[in-house]
Amino acid sequence: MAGKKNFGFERHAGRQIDLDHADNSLATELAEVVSAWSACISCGSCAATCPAGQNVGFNFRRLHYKIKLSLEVETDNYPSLLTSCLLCGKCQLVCPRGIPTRYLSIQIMQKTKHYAEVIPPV
Amino acid sequence: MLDGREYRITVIGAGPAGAAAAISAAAMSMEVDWYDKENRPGGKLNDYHQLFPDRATADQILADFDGRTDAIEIKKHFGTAVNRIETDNRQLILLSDNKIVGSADAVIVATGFDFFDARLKEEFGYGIYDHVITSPDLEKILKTNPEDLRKEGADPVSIAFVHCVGSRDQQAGINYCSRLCCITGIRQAIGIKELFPSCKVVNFYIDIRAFGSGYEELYREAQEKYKIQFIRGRVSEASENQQHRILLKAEDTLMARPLKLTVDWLVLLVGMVPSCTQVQIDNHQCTDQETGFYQPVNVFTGSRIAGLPGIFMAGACGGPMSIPEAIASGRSAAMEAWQYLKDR
Ligand SMILES: Cc1cc2nc3c(=O)[nH]c(=O)nc-3n(C[C@H](O)[C@H](O)[C@H](O)COP(=O)(O)OP(=O)(O)OC[C@H]3O[C@@H](n4cnc5c(N)ncnc54)[C@H](O)[C@@H]3O)c2cc1C
Ligand code: SF4
Ligand code: SF4
Ligand code: SF4
Repeated sequence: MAGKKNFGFERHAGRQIDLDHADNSLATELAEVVSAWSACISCGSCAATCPAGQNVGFNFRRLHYKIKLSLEVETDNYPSLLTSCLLCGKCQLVCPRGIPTRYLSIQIMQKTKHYAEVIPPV
Repeated sequence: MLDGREYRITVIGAGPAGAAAAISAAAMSMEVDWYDKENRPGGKLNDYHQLFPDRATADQILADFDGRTDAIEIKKHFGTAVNRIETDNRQLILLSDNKIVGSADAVIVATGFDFFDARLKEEFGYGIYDHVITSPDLEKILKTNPEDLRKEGADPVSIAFVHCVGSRDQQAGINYCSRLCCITGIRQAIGIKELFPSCKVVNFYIDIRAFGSGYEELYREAQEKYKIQFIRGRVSEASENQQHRILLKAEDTLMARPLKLTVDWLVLLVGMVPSCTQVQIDNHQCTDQETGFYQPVNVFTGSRIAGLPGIFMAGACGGPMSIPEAIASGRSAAMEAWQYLKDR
């Protein structure tokens, strides 16, 4: 008899969001150039109206929320922002907080370029 | 007993706040002149069906007010709007369409609020699609003819409520929360389920703000007893299909996935905005620059309108509030007016 019982669970490293060791440099940089972004209430209007998000896994709200939590964007298992966002600006028309979301998208693209280079795709 | 026999007070507005103010002032023996632009008292309650939190009928509350205002000496001037107050020494002169209609030692302004004009949020299609209605529209339908919700005799299959329409919305120029639309949506959703038990009822919310006494309980009852579905996401747009049903788009933010739903009726939970019939007071700027509601001299302790001796405010003319809050503020304004007149 083995001392350890197998309950059928596996322990996954990295599932827990670790706010203690979060590198929030991207979020800080973005909040500086798009200050209204801090007022996002995660209402989902941007993602609901986004033409790019209807058929593929791209979700603009989730993406910028992940950045706020300092989770790496590029390690996400859905298509990267760089290829999905059409920069159509529809999200900006519906945002109740008046966040310039299209500009936010451009800023994320620009600021994550170097991340894309240093972090290998998963 | 507070004795206000020498004092003449005018109350403008005969909704719950004005009624409470008039009754309280009369109970202190003040000489009360009571105005409303409409021919009957009651304010918004006249068009409401049931009320949160306990779902008493609005007519019950109205009847209670009528009984109490009839039993006490109050001079009623219904059908007269007061648009302007001018200060002349210590006298306050009341004007209706530039004609003097009276004077008073103190005035309580209780002119209430307006419903947000949902046409301004074009993406929801109010005024464009017949089956997009507002919460006050639904209130009237529930009160007068709920049969109107049937379509060619058939029960509606699905109905959705959109929270925060014209509140918390910079695009509409309104950043504040209207505080009561969440619980209105919950109450109305229950009303629909009682009429049409098999109807699918879905509320789209950003945050559920059920702050008042009995509100959280009603929310839970809506979930447990009435099986109303609450989806955390704001509807971004509505359109009409060929069967004249309304197609909604939202994000289910908890799933992080876009969502669609087709409904027979879409109900917009409109916010509360400053009344367009607010009283002008001399040439004084007495409303909050950002919200447009009257501003008290002190948000904690005072119902005197900022900067104006002798003029007090009560009810939703000072911002979104519930009926019990409006009634309490009407009473306290009468009390403050008495104190002001006694001390001056
Ligand atoms: C859809 C909806 C549903 C609601 N349901 C509930 C509920 O179930 N329970 C609850 O507690 N609260 C409810 N409320 C809140 C409720 O409507 C308010 O608390 C209440 O109406 C405030 O009373 P009031 O006297 O301040 O204003 P009002 O009811 O707006 O009354 C103001 C009165 O002043 C008069 N007036 C305005 N201008 C002038 C003028 N210049 N001269 C003379 N008269 C004037 C108007 O004709 C009106 O009679 C609801 C709100 C909404 C938006
Ligand atoms: S700008 Fe990008 S994120 Fe915004 S709606 Fe268009 S595709 Fe979606
Ligand atoms: S629409 Fe605006 S407030 Fe809503 S989730 Fe998107 S960015 Fe945030
Ligand atoms: S009470 Fe609810 S629906 Fe109304 S504005 Fe506030 S959060 Fe939105």
